[in-house]
Amino acid sequence: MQKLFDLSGLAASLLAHATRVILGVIVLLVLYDVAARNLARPIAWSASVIEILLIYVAFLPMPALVRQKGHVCADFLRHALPDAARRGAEKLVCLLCIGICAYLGLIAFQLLVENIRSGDYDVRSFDVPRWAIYLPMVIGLWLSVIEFLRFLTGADSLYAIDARDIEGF
Amino acid sequence: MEWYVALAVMIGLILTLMGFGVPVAFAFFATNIVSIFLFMGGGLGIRQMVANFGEAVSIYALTPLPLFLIMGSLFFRSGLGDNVFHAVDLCIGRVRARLSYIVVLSGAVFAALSGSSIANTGMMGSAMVPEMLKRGYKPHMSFGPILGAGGLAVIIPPSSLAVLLGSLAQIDVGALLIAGFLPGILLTVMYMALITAQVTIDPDAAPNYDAPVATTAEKLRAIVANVIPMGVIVLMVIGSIIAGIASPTESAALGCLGVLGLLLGYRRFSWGVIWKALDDAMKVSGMTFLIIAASTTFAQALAFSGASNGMIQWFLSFDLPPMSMLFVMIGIILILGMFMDQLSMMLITLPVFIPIANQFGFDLVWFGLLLLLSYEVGFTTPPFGLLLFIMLGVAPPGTTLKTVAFAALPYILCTMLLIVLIAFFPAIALFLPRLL
Amino acid sequence: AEVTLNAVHFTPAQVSYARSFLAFVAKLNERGKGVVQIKVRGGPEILPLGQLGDAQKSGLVDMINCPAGPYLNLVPEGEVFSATSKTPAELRANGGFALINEIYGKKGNAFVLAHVDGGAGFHIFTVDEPARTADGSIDFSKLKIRSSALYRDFLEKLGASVVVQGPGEVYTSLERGLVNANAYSVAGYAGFGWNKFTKFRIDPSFFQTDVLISINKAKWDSLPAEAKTILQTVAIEHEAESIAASLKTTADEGKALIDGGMKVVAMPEAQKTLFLDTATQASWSRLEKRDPSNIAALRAKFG
Ligand code: NA
Ligand code: NA
Repeated sequence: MQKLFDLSGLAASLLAHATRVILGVIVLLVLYDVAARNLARPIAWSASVIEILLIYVAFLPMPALVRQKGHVCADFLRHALPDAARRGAEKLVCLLCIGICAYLGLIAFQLLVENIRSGDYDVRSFDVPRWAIYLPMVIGLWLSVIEFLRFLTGADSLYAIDARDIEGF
Repeated sequence: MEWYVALAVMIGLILTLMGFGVPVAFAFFATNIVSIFLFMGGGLGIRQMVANFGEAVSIYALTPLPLFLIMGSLFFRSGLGDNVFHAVDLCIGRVRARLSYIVVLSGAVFAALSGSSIANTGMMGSAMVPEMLKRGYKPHMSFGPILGAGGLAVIIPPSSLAVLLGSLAQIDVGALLIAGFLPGILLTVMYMALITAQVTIDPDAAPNYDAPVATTAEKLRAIVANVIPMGVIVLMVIGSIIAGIASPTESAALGCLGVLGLLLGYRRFSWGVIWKALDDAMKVSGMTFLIIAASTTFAQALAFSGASNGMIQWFLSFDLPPMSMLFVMIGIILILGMFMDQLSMMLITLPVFIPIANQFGFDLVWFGLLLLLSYEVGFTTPPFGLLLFIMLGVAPPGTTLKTVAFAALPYILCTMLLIVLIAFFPAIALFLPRLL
Repeated sequence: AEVTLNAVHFTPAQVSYARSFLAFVAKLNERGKGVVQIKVRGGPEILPLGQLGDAQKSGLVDMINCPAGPYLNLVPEGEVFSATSKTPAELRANGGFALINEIYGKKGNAFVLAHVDGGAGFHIFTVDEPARTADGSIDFSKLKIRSSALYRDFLEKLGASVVVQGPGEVYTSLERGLVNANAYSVAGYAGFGWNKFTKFRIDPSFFQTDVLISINKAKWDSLPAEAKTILQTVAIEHEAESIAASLKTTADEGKALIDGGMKVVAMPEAQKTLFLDTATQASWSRLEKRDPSNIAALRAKFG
């Protein structure tokens, strides 16, 4: 189990690195676009490339943010629970998140496979293969399943701060 | 199913899940799945939702968020921000809560350049929050002004939200944009008054740390040394927009380039700083975009179930006089704003509200501006307030939604006061458009 | 028993395209009492424009009011609706409609009931008076045109610089001089306030709007004959009426723009022909790149 979590942590942090690089690429692409438009002919494809990259920015860092507790939470009912119930609630939340990610990950995977087979594309400035849109969702959602599983086994708490330190909503 | 049952199920579910600590994006995902099975025919609807995720975030107009985050973070992480704050200290001297005032003023300036509230909040938050907290500012003196100033971006022209509102509601877009100018200034003034009141009531909220007493020469030197860097950024961001070299969306990238040039010039460049800035941007954008993907589909499911339209029709079924009806419509937007984004709200409410406004003979520019201000409030109302989440993303770990939401509350009240003022004194909105 | 079809339209309810569709629905519900009814679920607040084709294909919605352009990925052949200069009535007579419906059935699981709101095309609007070349033709290379994905290829072929942007950003782009021209239909142009900046309209118009009313094919096949007849009859009636209405709106709004100070810039006859040929070719060559299998048959009917 520990081995699995180590591997998934490594994969998650690699994906986070990839996202940082993508963000840098977006800056360069916009700059290149502006320069090209003002100095020469504009490049038509850059806006569409950036739009697709934004999907990667949304889904690739998902598992790393799960591990780093970077997905924001509210807390207005949980803090009112007694200690034992609160621990139980945390497990339930983990289970729920595992269920959501696995279910959506499964659907995204089906869509990915179908679109690779059919060669379907999105009509933008150029035709973008649909599988390229589902790929980051499949990766992000399935790795998040493992990351939530890690919280479920009790290796770490889902929340950044101890519930006792929260004033509640 | 009756609309109120659908509404109760969806709102009840999202509140319960968020309340028990399910991360916001996942609470929306779960609610969407349940409501799609109840109202949208199950499996087919889920496939449609997953297909919609990509569409919800692959929007070019969202790019300024990560770009401005990178810019703000570079500014702060490199220590360049420190220099600027130092110059401010020297020049403004011992004015209490000076950083809060500066946030509001520079927020208004940025609002006049950009139409994106989330981008402005991200930039100001990543550049200013760590510095303000370091100097002992309480959350409501640091988060509050940034959240308030962020909302100005959609009121003070340019504003893509105002343009969309104008075109969807068949209101003269140019007039609607100009109508936002005076109220935007007025709101800025109200924010400044608010800060003054807050710091008078509780002076410790913005501790007056020792600002060195400086001679005129020292002040001049500090200004020159720091005006130049600010000048470079201003030239890159503002100049490129005004000169028509770049769109407001693209100007953020030029801002990044400007900061980068400064880092080289001031010999503060290191790959570590760049990597750190990209890391900050990755965390906040990744979190925010996932929430946008999840909440967009929530608004769609709510509309598909008939819940949002049912609620609107029910509120409007009371036969009310014009002014009461106006406030009912504003109230509906404030309620919807707790759970959905501005574009979804506009798509849901405008088809119903515009005919009513026409029927009562409302001035559409005045009415449109009141709606715009009401939509803007939704950015900072919990439980779903995009600016609140962005602020949580840039705030130190352990900051709670409650803290951030309470910091925003006085600023929301200012906006509501402005709404009432404009409702009774339409000239505030209509003075400038009528001059044209 | 009465059949109920659920439907989604692509613009918000108050916009002219949706109003036209809702008028069709009202007419149909009147004539179809006891046989077939349409229940409108809503517009883009329910399903975004880009998802309508897929939602209909999968059967999530039965009927959509949506241009062919946004789902060329499903049915690339939909391009012919904007490229053709023939009227829907002519295409029904020459078998073009039957041909395209065979393709829509196969690729989009859809049956096209009508091509509505058509007839009017798109214009290039410019901020400054368009520069001329030595022979009196328009010099497109001086233009930085805001475009939608639909006509980007064509505007590039003209030699213009093209910026693809959503309607929400165009006002600021024109105000700030990021672009000095904009391509859009006459109808709805003033609604965005763009006429404040663009004072010239280049004639002629190119393409035509490609809004379709279509129904899920499996659902269509399952309908009783009487329901099919009513749907198709009312749709064809509405098609003709909506084209007349759209031409009238275009004429009215065009006149309002001209009364408001907009100048019409015409091309010399030779360039006009070249311009329209280039537009048509841009559509056909894009279609050919995506799927050439039906090109010859389609050209015979729509070309
Ligand atoms: Na603005
Ligand atoms: Na809100």
